[in-house]
Amino acid sequence: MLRIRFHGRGGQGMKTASRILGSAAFHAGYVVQDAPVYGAERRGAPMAAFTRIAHAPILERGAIVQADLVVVADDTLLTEPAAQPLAGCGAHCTLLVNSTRDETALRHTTSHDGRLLVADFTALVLKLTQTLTGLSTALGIAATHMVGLSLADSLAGLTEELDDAQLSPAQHRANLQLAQATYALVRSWEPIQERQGEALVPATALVEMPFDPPWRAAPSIYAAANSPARHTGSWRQFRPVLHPEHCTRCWVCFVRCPEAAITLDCDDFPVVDYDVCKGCLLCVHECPTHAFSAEKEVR
Amino acid sequence: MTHGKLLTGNAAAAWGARLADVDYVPAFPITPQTEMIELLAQWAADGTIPARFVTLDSEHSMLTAAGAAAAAGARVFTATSSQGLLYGFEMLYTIAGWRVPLVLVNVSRGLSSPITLEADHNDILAARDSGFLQIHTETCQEVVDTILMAYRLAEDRRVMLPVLVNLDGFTLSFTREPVILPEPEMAAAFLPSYQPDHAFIRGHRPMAQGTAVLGGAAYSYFRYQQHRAQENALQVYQEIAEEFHTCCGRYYGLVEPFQLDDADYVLVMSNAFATKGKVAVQRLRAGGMRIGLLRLRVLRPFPAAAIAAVLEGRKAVAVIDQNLAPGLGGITYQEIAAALYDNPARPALLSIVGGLGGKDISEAEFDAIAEDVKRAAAGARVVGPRLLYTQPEWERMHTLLRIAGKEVEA
Repeated sequence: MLRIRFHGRGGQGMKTASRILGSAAFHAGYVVQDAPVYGAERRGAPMAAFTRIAHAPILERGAIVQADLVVVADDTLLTEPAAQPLAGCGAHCTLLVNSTRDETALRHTTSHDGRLLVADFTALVLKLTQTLTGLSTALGIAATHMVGLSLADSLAGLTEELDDAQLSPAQHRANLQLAQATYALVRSWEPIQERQGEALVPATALVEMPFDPPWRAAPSIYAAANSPARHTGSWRQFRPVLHPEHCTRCWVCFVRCPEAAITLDCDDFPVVDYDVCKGCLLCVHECPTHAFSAEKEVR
Repeated sequence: MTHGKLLTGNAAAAWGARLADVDYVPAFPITPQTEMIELLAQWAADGTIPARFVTLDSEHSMLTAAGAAAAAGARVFTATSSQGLLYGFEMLYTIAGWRVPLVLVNVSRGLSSPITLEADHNDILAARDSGFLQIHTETCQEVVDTILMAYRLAEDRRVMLPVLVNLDGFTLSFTREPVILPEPEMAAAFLPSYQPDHAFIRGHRPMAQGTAVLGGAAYSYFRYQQHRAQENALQVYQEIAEEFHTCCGRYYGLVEPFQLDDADYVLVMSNAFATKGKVAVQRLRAGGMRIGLLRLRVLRPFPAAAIAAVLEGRKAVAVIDQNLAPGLGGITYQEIAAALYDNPARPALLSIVGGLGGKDISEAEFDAIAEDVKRAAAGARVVGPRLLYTQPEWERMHTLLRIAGKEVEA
């Protein structure tokens, strides 16, 4: 069995990528299981998706603990405590990261001692589809190649997912072009191999849970005002940028920002706190004079 | 080439309703059931299914509408989960008392508080005394097949009770796996259109349904009739299971035995995590342990005789409850213990509680259970319930408590 884990943020399309891979492998005649896991719906929050590919019925469920291939949709996730994309990644595991940085740079930020593959899929996606929504296609197709599926099976799987997504004919074509371009980009990468023998799972002791006093055992949080410590700026794919020459200081962005990430300076101009701004772009859409533009985040 | 298509548990449930040719779908979305409602809404809107799809303002209204439509003679499908099931809870008993045969799918999700999203079975098991029949599923294939079987069971004149079909949130609801959909003609032959014979609305035949009674004797009569109908359902279910097997080639018994022929030890599990139990059984067998698994499928009516027949004479049995009755322990453990109590060949019986809120059950935890059943078979008294909770999970919990400022009392 091959076990592939995708890490992304809500809205990046990693659930779809896991399904593109699943559908392609199913089309090629394998038994497949795929599933996403995420919390309460939040665009930008870390999520994961899992695809299992086998010759026989799959007697596994839920999260993949020890993956053969881990696909990471952006490199900020590598150091994100809520994502932990490297969990269970031994030397056998191949790590594939979408990043503008190179392998050497990423080696410094990860502890991964297995194979590391890096490419800027986002650039390809923007070039061919003009939006970021194609990242699911790019990383889904990269994964189909990495598990050794043919381009024909990969495109068949992709087509099923594109049909489900009810795209316009132009978007459909653009995604197929993107798939071809992705395949060309990754085709020199050697596909992964099935692990020989099952991985050893370390023995773990069970604990007998004792009584805790209710002040501790009730689901309350005493540590007050800790949400500013949670820097959600890494969730952003596009950054709102103010062009003050168009700003009439009407405060609409300040009032509408759902994260209170916009404050006003002493002259009443809005100031975005990029540590907190999640990149929802409500300010860009709401600004009556179009004083905000959305700039692609490059990290 | 594998047959079938990849479907999530939610999509399989929607397909079940579609193949059952339902007339009416009252709906209220809730995670992790929403995709089922989205699909049915889409199919109703584009004319794929002739059903009337209506969104209601709460699960209480949704279940009221479902029961009322069933009382008018329509074939009704609806679905909810967790908090939604509890919000509509009053109507469960009410609808069962009306003796109307709708199918309600529950997508299991742990109950608040603290609020969560992933599966355990306290939601569905809270409804165990409502009069609804209950069938619990392990795979997406089983979801679609069970919905067809559930309508046959509900609409049988010897039963005439609503049915809850359970599937686990995330581990089944969002998980795609290969599903072979019965051909529509095959489904229609197995499940002909519903011919209501006691609850319907006809202009030429006025009647009052769901009337009030005063005096316990009248109440006792109506309530105990539900019990008699549930008892009948055991036999009716087996007929339907045979017929489904003939029609569609897949057999689903009241319970599912897995590698039990020579088993000294048995794990009892239900729903999607039973798959994990089966893998554990295979692994432990490779190590020389004669162990098997019994999967609970029909929980209401409770197939006490079928369960006792499988478990009697074994050395030790561990009942793994993915639920918790605080102050008591695992719920199905109590029922299985009662089913075995007067059996002279009853095995040692252990109560395990695990997978609460969807917590994984790891190999290490199955290994610990295997050690427990061996000790119990050797005569040790193993006092339950034993909670499955690992040292690393305990340490992570402590980190969370620290972050929450729970080092010292506020």
